[in-house]
Amino acid sequence: MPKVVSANRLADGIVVYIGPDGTWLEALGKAKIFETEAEAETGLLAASNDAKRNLILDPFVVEVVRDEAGLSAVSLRNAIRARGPTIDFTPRTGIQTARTERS
Amino acid sequence: MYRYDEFDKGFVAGRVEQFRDQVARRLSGELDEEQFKPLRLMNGVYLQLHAYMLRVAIPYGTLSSRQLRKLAFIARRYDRGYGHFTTRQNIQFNWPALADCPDILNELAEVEMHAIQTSGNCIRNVTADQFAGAGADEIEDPRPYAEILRQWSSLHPEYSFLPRKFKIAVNGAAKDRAALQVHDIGYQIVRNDRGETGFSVYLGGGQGRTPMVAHKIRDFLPKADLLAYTNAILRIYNLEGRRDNKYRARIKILVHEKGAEDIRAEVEREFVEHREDALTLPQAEIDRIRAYFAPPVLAKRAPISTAVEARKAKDSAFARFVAQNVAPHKAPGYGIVTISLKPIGGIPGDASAEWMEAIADLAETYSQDELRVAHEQNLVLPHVALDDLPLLFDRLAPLGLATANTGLVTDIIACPGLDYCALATARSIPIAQRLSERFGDGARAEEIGELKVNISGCINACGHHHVGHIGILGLEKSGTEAYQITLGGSADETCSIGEIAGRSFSSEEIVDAIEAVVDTYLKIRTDKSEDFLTAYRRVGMDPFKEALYERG
Repeated sequence: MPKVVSANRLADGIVVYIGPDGTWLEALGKAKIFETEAEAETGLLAASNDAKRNLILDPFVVEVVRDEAGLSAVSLRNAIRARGPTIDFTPRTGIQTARTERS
Repeated sequence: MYRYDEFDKGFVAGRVEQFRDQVARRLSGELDEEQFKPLRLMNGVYLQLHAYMLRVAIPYGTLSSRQLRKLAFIARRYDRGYGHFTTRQNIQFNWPALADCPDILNELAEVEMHAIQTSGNCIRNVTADQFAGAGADEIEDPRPYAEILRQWSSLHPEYSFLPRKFKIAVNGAAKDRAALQVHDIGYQIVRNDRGETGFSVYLGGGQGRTPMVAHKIRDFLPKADLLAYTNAILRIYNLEGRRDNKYRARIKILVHEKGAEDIRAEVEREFVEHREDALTLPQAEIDRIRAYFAPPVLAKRAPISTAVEARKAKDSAFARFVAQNVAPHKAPGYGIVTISLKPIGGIPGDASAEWMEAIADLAETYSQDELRVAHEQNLVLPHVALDDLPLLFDRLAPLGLATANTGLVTDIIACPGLDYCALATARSIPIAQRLSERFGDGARAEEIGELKVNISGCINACGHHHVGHIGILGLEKSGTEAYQITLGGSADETCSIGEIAGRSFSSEEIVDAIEAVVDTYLKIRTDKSEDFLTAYRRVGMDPFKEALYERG
């Protein structure tokens, strides 16, 4: 089963995936695909080095499937992690510009 | 409300600067995650599924308009425009950047708020019943005692590394609105036969994977002994609580393993031995803290409002709102208004920045600048003149905040579940939304009457499923979500842990299953006055089981 390597970015905690050039990307669809267990281990090792370099946190391997729509995570947990909450969490009244309290 | 003194101010400001330095050192790499994680957790910063999460303490669920506005400001400036009120009266922001957390804490400190002890194995935010200081049935305001406990337990050197987290609740009326008996310690304010107020002490309750109802270990504790007695319990727990197994580490396990009678005797011995040490509360100190919670000066009013009666007669939506969301106040002519954060199909406990600001404005205009957070994840305006109810209702309705469902089947408690939480095994929010839509905001929910549906997305039970009249526990089975139903739980003074009905249901099945439970109740109840819990306690599981598992 194809795999990608994911983590959370240190500075803001956002979910990221290791990309083909070794940089960390927010889109699962653009992640580097590791076809075998051994390749994924190499990817994880590189990710651990990035954790030591304080770029990311808690790297791990995510199993994915490929179909016409592109890449998606196999487990529900990782799919939610990739796509965000499954609910419409945006406040109904909409996000507006911050009101400056001190003005 | 309690106001920070110079000591509190300096203390919180010092903590913010300390954390700012720690975050900077983490981002520069001077601290690694292993070193930093306990530091961020001590400041309420978790790492969840999608991002960091900041949990902000709302001591005993009391907020001023100014504080709620600040929470709205933080939601907009540093988050994604909303926050989530929790079952422990706190608020969580789901998307803060770590780099922004020191600034957020600084903003909070400006309005006397913080995130200290909202995580870690310490004494957590002390909760209180949401009608504190207002309820007609109140024996005494629980908040001064919650505040005393908060001050004593903040960064307490002996209790910063307990075997596990420790939760205390204080309830001020005979009606338990604070879920006392599922807390590590529950203090119930009581009046003895000499007319003095003190506390009944409940010990060792909790939910999670091993749910237990607390044992009452003392009928009457004088107020002066509140800290000495709490200290006795904590000393024993700190020494004897299990540290070998995280899942056996809460005090409920110690109480269960030793037996309630043994632990009571041990607490009493420890208490008597150290009673005179230093922790006896001087009356002057109790009075000083109580003065911060002095009831607001409310103008005298007639007990019945003609404005309310006239509007009720011609507006059934308003009449429903008053019947469901307005509770009796201790002052004649006033009411306590619950603002439901459970609009039909909404996300339980979520509030947008706009809602927070609007509610803050309403609290300022109609409720003496005061608000409470209910552990049921609603907001409360504690001091509203009945004559103002029509005006208030007319301002709530266009905001989508006038849902008249307090205590009804759609007033669902739900944890964030797998949509946000790193620990969750299934989603909670979508189930709550579908149930809410199924039962709706009309005659049907009203006909069903009082019914508490609580949903947790994992065994840790943040959604209080064990004490829901109907509880739903989300599990993962072979990679898919499954939902287990429990029936007959209750968090009030008749506390009980729900019984598991049987095999779990799929996400597709669960809403129909709950409907089958509700329909069964409607069939078996003697009449409308027999609520779900009473009926369940009368007939037991069998008819419900039959309806759930032997349907055609």
